[in-house]
Amino acid sequence: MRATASPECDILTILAAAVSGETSVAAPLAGEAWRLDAAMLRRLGSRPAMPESGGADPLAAPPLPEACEKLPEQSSRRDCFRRRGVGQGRWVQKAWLERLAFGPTPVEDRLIQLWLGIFPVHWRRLRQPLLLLDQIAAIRGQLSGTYVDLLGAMVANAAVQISLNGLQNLRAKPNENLGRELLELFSLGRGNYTETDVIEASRALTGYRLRPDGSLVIEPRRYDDGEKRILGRRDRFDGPSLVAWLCQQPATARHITARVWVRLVGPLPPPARIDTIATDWRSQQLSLPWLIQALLQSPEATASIRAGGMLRDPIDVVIASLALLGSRHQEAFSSANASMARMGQGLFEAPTVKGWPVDREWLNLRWLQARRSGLQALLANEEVWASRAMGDDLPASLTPIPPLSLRLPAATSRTQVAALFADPVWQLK
Amino acid sequence: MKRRHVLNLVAGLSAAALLDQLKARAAASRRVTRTFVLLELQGGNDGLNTLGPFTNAAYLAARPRLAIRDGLPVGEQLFLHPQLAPLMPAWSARRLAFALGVGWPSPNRSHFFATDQWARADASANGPGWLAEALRQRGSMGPLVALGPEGSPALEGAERISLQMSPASRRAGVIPPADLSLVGANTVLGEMLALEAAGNRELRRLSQALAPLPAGVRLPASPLGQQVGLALQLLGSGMAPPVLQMALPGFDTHANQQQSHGQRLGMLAEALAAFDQGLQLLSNRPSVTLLTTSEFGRRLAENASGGTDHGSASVALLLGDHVPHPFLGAYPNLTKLDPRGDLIPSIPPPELYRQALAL
Repeated sequence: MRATASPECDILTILAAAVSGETSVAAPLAGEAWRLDAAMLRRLGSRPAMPESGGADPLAAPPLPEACEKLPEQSSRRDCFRRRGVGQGRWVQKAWLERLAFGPTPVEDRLIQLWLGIFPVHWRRLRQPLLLLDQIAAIRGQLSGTYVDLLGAMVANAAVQISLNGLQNLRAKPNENLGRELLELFSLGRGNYTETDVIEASRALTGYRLRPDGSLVIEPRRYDDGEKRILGRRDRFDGPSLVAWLCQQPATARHITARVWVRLVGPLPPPARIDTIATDWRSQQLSLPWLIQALLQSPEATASIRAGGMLRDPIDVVIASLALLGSRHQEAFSSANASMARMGQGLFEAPTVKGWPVDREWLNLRWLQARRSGLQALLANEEVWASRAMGDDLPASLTPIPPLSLRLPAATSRTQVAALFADPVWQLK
Repeated sequence: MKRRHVLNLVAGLSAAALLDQLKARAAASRRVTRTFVLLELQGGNDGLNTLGPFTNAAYLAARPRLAIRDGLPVGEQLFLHPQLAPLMPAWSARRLAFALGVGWPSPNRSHFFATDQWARADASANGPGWLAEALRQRGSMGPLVALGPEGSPALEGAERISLQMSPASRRAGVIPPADLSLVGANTVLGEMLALEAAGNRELRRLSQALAPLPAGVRLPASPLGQQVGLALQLLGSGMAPPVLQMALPGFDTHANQQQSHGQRLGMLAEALAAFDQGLQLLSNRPSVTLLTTSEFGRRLAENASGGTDHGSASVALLLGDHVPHPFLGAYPNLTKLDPRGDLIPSIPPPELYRQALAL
């Protein structure tokens, strides 16, 4: 259930050099390094840059689960489960936010957050929200791999399975929730499959059982090992072979390219443009680093990044604001977590399995109000301000285009930071 | 996360279809003649102990510790929780009513999913907020004004202006005006500023117009009391918004319910009594209907912690100038339960909304 520490990439030393925004950094995502400048990092939503090393990994020491199962009475067990669930959920939210803002691998973590938005699990769906650490670790393990690997890892992940009723999908009594979302959201996209495909795919996904340690096994008695007909092919599909077959479909590459495009590049281009990228992506065996790189370096992204043409996710605004203040005071994270829920993007609290809004979909007055009041509250917190770690200047590289209400670079002061946080341009990426 | 049961809603009703009939009523003048107030009881209110058959044998047997013994009689075998006593004047004046057996045909017992279903009047929890959609059908832009601290998705979407006003947000001040000429070709920045400007205009307009509280209204000191005060000030302002929202949390009574639930209901009753008193003292106001919603009711049988678990059918309270006094619908049969031991609902939320909007 622990997130295993990944081999940390030595990105911090490079990032430290990027504070000015002029140096580009090598992101160790693909076999060969590729370049991410400060503007691309902002578009990705990764924290701008850290003046010093992040220190301890906030995810490293999760709370020990209370042994609720051993309590004698049913009612006290139930209370214990409830208390434990909320405790774990809040802990994961806070630790993951701290890691996004200050952890040792900001680019990888923000990419993980991007995929967590595509495979969203609400922590309240889990009796043990610490299972989310396994989902984070599973995505981390595939970041330099392919979408086939990532999708396979997500289908075999306990948090994803539980949240989509996968464990209730039995040979004798199928539950089609996971099968349907797999086809509609995680692979082909609507209009590219039939109801029969959903039923047959769900049969292929039967039999997963949760072990006490949080891992999944296939229970042969629950698994439907018969022949299934999916997208015109007859086979005795199971989870992995279904994932492989789905990923061979051109529709999957198109659909996932489009889902990442709207997160990194902007409004969808004409379908032919997505087709072109998706075709190239297939020739790269659906390599994830290739896709991220191709999208961030596309002419459309370059123009949009230069113009600050996208609205940041609340997560990005909060990460950037926390990183700018540099305070790792616990109040910074509790204040930010509470604000993010009001901004519409509590961590691990996506409203539906479709994930959060993107870009212009965030244009909602209440959420915009919450962005401003949340940042204001963060800055007004005396503990946070007293524990800040900021440079002498607010560099011009903080925003994609000049802010409307202050001139950058500017000497760091609480007034100037307040002006920056209140500036609409701070909401752009 | 999302269960895609294809629910057989009554004749396939969706929020949009339900509210179509309101189109004909598109406001002829800008001045609002009716205001709808939504009060969200967050956590899943125990309808059975709010308004229930407190002398029923099945009720008494299922709730040995939690049964209410000193209820206020309001109908055939039906009683109100004694903490609701402050509402008895409104009941006698026929300004208070209850909808009975309210809930989804296939209930979902997750707080966040059920809250979403209610907010969108949609069993699959998709679509715009039901009140925003209702205004769109009426051809009204709004604003829809949330007074609860977290706002409400019921008020959002359908391209209506949805604002949040709270004592806290009013202290925080209005968003500073930005110079639109600086926007240039950045369309997202332009849209954001235009939206904020529209919101600012509305907020300023509303804040400046707030009426003084009518003399003699005594607001309880609770957060809900503050929301009620702001609601009355808006209703008397001469530019009352067509939709207001308030919220009272704390109804997730899994343990030691007796004390906490009574306390919540007491807060609710005191605040609503002040609200109704204020309504009657305000001279220049639209007609008002208030409806309470809650994501689900609670199980008939109490649990072993002196509380109740997530259930199904519950009651909804209606207060104001036009209410279906005394009751809408019939109380669910306590001896005919679903497989989980929950009351079976007879009024799905979209139907409740349709009826409440048509009042």
